Amino acid sequence: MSARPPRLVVGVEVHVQLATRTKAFCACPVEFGAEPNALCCPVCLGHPGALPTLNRGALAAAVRAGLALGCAVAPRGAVRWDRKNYFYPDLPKGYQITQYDHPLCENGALALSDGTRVRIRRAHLEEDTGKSSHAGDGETLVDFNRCGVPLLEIVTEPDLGSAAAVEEYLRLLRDRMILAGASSCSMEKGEMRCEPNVSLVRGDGSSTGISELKNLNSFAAVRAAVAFEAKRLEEGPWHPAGAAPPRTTYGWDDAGGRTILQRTKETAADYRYFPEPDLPDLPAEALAGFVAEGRAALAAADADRSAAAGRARAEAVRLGLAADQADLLLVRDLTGGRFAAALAAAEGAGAPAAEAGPALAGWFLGPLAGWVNGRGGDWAALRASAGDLAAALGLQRTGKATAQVVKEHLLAGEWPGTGGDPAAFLAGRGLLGGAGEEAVRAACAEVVAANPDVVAKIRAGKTAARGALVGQVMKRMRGTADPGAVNRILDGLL
Amino acid sequence: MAGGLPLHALPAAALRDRIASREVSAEEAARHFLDRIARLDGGIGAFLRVDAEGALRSARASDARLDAGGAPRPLEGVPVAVKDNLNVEGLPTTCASRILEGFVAPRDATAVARLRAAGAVILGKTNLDEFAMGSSTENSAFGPTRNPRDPSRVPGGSSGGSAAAVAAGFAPLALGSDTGGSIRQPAALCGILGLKPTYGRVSRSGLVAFGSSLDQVGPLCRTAADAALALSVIAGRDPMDATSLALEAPAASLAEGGLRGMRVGVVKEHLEGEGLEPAVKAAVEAAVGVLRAGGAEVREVSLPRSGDGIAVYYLVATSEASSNLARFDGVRYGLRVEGRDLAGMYEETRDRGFGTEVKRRILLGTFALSAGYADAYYQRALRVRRLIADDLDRAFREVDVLVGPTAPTVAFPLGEKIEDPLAMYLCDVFAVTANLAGIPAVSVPCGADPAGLPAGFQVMAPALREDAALRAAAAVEAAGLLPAALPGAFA
Repeated sequence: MSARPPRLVVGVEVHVQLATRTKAFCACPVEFGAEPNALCCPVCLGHPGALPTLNRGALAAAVRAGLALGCAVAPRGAVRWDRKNYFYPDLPKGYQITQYDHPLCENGALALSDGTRVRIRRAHLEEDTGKSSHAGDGETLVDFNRCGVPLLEIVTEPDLGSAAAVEEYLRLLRDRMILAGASSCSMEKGEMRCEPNVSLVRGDGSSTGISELKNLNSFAAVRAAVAFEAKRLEEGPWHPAGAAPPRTTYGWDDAGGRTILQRTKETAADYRYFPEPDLPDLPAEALAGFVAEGRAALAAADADRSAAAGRARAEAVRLGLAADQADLLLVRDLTGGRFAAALAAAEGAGAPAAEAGPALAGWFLGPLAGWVNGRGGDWAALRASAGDLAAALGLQRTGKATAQVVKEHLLAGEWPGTGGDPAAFLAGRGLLGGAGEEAVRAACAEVVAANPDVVAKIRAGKTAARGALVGQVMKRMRGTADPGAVNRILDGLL
Repeated sequence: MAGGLPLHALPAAALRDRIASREVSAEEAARHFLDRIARLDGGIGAFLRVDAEGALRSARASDARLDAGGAPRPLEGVPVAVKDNLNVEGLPTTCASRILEGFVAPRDATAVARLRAAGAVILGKTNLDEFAMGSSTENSAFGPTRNPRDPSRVPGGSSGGSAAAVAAGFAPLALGSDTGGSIRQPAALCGILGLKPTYGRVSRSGLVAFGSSLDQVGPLCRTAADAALALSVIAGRDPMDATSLALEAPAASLAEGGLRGMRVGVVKEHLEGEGLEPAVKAAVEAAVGVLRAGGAEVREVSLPRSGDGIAVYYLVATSEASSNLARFDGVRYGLRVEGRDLAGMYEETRDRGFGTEVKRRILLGTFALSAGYADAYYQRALRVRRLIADDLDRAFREVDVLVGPTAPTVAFPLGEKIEDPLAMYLCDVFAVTANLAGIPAVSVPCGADPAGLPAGFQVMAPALREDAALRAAAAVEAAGLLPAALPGAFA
């Protein structure tokens, strides 16, 4: 028995949907949410006599993706296609066109913030399958719209050691794919599907079985599932060093917060891979153009991002933003331009940049981000316009509403989903205009009278205890009191 | 009648010229052939489906075009029969299998579309061994085709329906497919000419795949000139087939030019092969004599790997077939037989839908690709395939064409080999070489045995040198070693 706790070992397989207008091997359009089976032809339906022809756009996107991951492109000299044979109703030809032993991209890496180098073993092009859905009456329906859509399967070495590292890797991967214009990686649309392989290894080399986790539809789900499985695996069973650990597939039950056994792989499925005779090999020379174009596109994207970062740095200085705030709001533009628009509206309304910048940054990364995350994470749900937000900032700056009221009652409530005049919204709830001097004074007097022990401490020199009195006054006033006035009045009473 | 020959005895080019010159209308020609099929095909079974209405419609369109002063196209009004593993829009594609029951092709195969664009009139779909797997056309779910030379005998296969249709005067031209001799062997057994073009010459789009790296569409007809004409129409780059070669179609005059300076290699192993009937050997030697007399330089050439051809072929073709035929699963089209569950539905559908030979080959191919066996079978077959191609490359440094028998025997009686798959497979022992190497090969009649059963002479040429193969074939054809007359009942 080793004394140290077992080490978590995770490798990840990710399928990203390449951003192309048409499918990988036919001319059918790629669209999300179309009528079932509206986007099919004899080729993707596997009709007799139909043959695949390569979409060069998919190849170009895959090459860009590989370059963005630091991979060597076609290191074995040619791009070859293989057939992976198995029967399933959503697989019309009875085989999937993929790449078995000559993947398009190999030997890449991404570095995590703590310096961990996540090695990427391979990234290969393949076609997606259709989608089966099981109706309640025992019927199975198949939608072939997705069938033949180009995917890039990206496989890491088992270099990840924590759930947080897995999540960071996936976020980084998505960022690189988007930068390369290879995929938009929307997890909601199934454009990025993550399958971590999780196991524990002890100091003596013994290990648990490998759990392959599926049905992970968000980064949060990935993180939770890996953490859950790591904990569950601690119970063993343990397999001695050198033995091939069994592989088991688990699904993730997001609502229940646990993994669910799907199947144990007692024998490896025999996919009878062989070279796809309908698609000629692409010699390395034929790829050289794609690689050169890919490098140029990636360099341009990097330059664009550097320039954007430069502009963002200057803007951050002008606004007095912290580096991480500037990165999220100006470089990665998490809010889809909404921060910049609100800032422009506030400056247009006369707010100085150094005041409006930090205030709005706080709102967007604080209460508004929380509000949006509570509604599926889509900033489009935010209906309060740039002008509405500038008006809210105006109320705060002119003392018509305190910062606390704005934060708690305006930005974290219903208002972001409706928008409209913030003054009217707050007035309707009796939260506007600040509290009168008399009301504040009365509240202060009540608090002083109710807390003789605290008052005694303050009078004895423990001035830090004063904060407790201020807090109580603010609470009584539902945040409408001006903290400066509260302090001034308390000073007089003490 | 000009030339003295009835319409059904004319080569395609001559018939086209008569239609183009308005001696006969396309509709009259179509009716002539449709009438012969209606009267005579009952005893042959060349056609699975005759599309009289469609044929007459396109024949009338040809006539209207000519009436309007339009220039006649290369196959204007020429009736053509199409093997039923090629899609013809609006007609069922059966592949002579129950499993495709109810499937109607949504579009023409590229070769068919090009025939139509050249003015050809599609008469209907011809019988074949199920999914083109066989050498006798007995493996058809809809009954065998008989040889017009002797209806007690097979026409060869798998393009037996197309070969019998041409031999019986039901069409001057037919399309077939050749994966391991399926155009040339039936052409030989029926006493007509068949061309397997270079792999990639003719688009495979719309041809139901059997062995994708071997399959090639080609013509069956009476003369080398007709084969050249047909090839000039159906060949050429097709964006729907990634393996089609980026080349223009060759000229229709491809078979012209004679033998001057041609170096001919007689394949030693093919002429010394076990099982070669003496009458076939004698006919082949006569054809070699014709080439020599015609000015060709003849020598013997060895292809040491010839003996491995059949083994390699049956591993590669069945492996690819096991994958190609997976799509016939009852889910989207064709036959579906319900089962206890999904796997049961697959099993029942494929059990009832496929015939014995198809199942045998799916099993062979699945085995050859299986983990633990793929190295010993499929991968090894690929290596030997490469060696066979190397043999040919070497030989073609010395000679322009390689010649020998197309098949070891003349047409055999129905039922003789159907219970003995290995004997049946050996029908293609000389033919598979060209498929494995992707090179063009022609079978041209070179005589008959004492009973009048034809023998075929095979001419192979380097990739893209259909011209050389067709020139040699034209010289043999001109010598008239097999009487040109149609067999008795079909005169």
